[in-house]
Amino acid sequence: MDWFMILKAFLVGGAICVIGQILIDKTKLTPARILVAFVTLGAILGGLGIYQYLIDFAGCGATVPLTGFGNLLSKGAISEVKDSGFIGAFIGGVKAASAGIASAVFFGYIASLISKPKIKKQ
Amino acid sequence: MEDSLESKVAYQKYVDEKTPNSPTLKNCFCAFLVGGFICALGQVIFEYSKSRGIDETTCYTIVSVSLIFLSSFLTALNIFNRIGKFAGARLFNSNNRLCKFNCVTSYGI
Amino acid sequence: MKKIGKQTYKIDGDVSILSTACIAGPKEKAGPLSKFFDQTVDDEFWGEETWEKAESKFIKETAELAINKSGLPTNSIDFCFAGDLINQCTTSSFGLMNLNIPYFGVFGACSTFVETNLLGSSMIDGGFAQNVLCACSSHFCSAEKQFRFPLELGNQRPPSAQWTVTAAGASVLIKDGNGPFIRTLTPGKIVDMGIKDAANMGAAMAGAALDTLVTHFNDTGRTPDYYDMIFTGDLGYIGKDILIDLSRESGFDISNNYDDCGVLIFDKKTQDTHSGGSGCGCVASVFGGYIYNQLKSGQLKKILLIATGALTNALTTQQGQTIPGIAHAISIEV
Repeated sequence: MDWFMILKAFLVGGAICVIGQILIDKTKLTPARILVAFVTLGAILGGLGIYQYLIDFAGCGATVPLTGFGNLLSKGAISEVKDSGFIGAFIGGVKAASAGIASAVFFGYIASLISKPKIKKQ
Repeated sequence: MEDSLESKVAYQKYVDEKTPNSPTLKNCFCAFLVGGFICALGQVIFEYSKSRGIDETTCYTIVSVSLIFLSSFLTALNIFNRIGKFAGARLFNSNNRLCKFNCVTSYGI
Repeated sequence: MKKIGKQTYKIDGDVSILSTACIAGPKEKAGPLSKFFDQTVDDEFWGEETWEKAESKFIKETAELAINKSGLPTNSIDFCFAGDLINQCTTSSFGLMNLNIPYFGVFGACSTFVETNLLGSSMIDGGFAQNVLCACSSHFCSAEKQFRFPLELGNQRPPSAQWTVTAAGASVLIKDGNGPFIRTLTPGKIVDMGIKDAANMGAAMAGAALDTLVTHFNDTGRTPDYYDMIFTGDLGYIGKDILIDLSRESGFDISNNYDDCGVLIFDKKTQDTHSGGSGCGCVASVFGGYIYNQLKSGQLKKILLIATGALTNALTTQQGQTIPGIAHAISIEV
């Protein structure tokens, strides 16, 4: 167990979430718009190759937040273009994110079968 | 009541003064803790997978799938929304996609 | 019915509120007005499969209770005015369809309760009806699902947000009777204050409340101290403050005899409801129990009830439109 890496993941992941929290509290942006902004930012930084430095530094602290998802999409698109040409741009993003998307659909469906919508306990 | 743009702008300014702010500092602190914890948890899963000899890209995929499973499990148990209320922007993880989808599917059912 | 001033109508004969009923959900049961509801329910589903069906059950049971309390046979009720927050007001229509009363579906958002009573008393005073049923409901879960996000998402709510009340209220109005009497009606105009923040409905609706309040006082020549109490529907803590300020600027000081149903129904400290309650069921259930009891016992002799509504839906907010408000007022005297 690389404890130092786990600590870095904690710090960087927490920091990215704090940015999101500040956007919720201080701006009129809706959560949906903030999520989209995060993904887009991750995609742009990933496409420029910058996001990889953050991943090397903080591991899951960079891949778990939604910016990591954007990075995954653009990295996937770029690598597929190298392999399959222009059409790869359409294939690659979803291909890279396929495990996450499929598990979201699958586990979401199972959860909806076994549980009932409930009011927040507050 | 005046209908002018000026009076609406003045009213908006007055409303902004009257409306209490969210406790940003407390929210950021909670978001930091919970968000950091989830990422650290992901890193633990990553380290464990790597120690089993799996290549890095697949390790990240395993982290992603595990966290999605965990969040759907907690949503089903009605715990996830309490964490969300506490931690606010903690939901800015790939888990959030699952939540939204979860809920949509459960309403469909 | 006689028009006085610009926008107010005086009931010529007598229109009494013969009976009321209100049924509320678990969070309202845990609030300060708990003992004033006719019935409370421990679970938002109330034995139904979906929240919408549960809301229909709320309004159905409440309407039937109001009719039972009135002592009138159901088939003697001439008209029913009802509404709720759900798309196409289906919870009301599905809930009340078995009453077999000629039905008018009404949408006034959270002002629906006063709007239905206003229309019902107009029908009676105009000679078109002897007895009218007015009902409306709201449900936290169905409203969140329609207007905001799935409950499971665990989204944070800002301090200005209000909590949609899970409750229904109904009243039976009759010609003549022994009071409490609806005496004047001030229907509201749509007022747009330019607010776009769907999490600050109180601010969006306060302008409409002010407009109706000022118009009512100007038309009737009355001042705020004519009434024992002035109640608004669901401006919440922020909207209430704003209305006190704005009406003072307009020359009417309501700070001594004014309260808001959204502020009354929940305990801010223990129930985490931020700026207070909202929804059609808020003013309906608070009036149906708490306020009506005080009118019957003589503790309150003259009140002005102003229910406010935000005429918006999820789409208009997403499209970047403002949130216009409306406020209808009726004055009730014993």
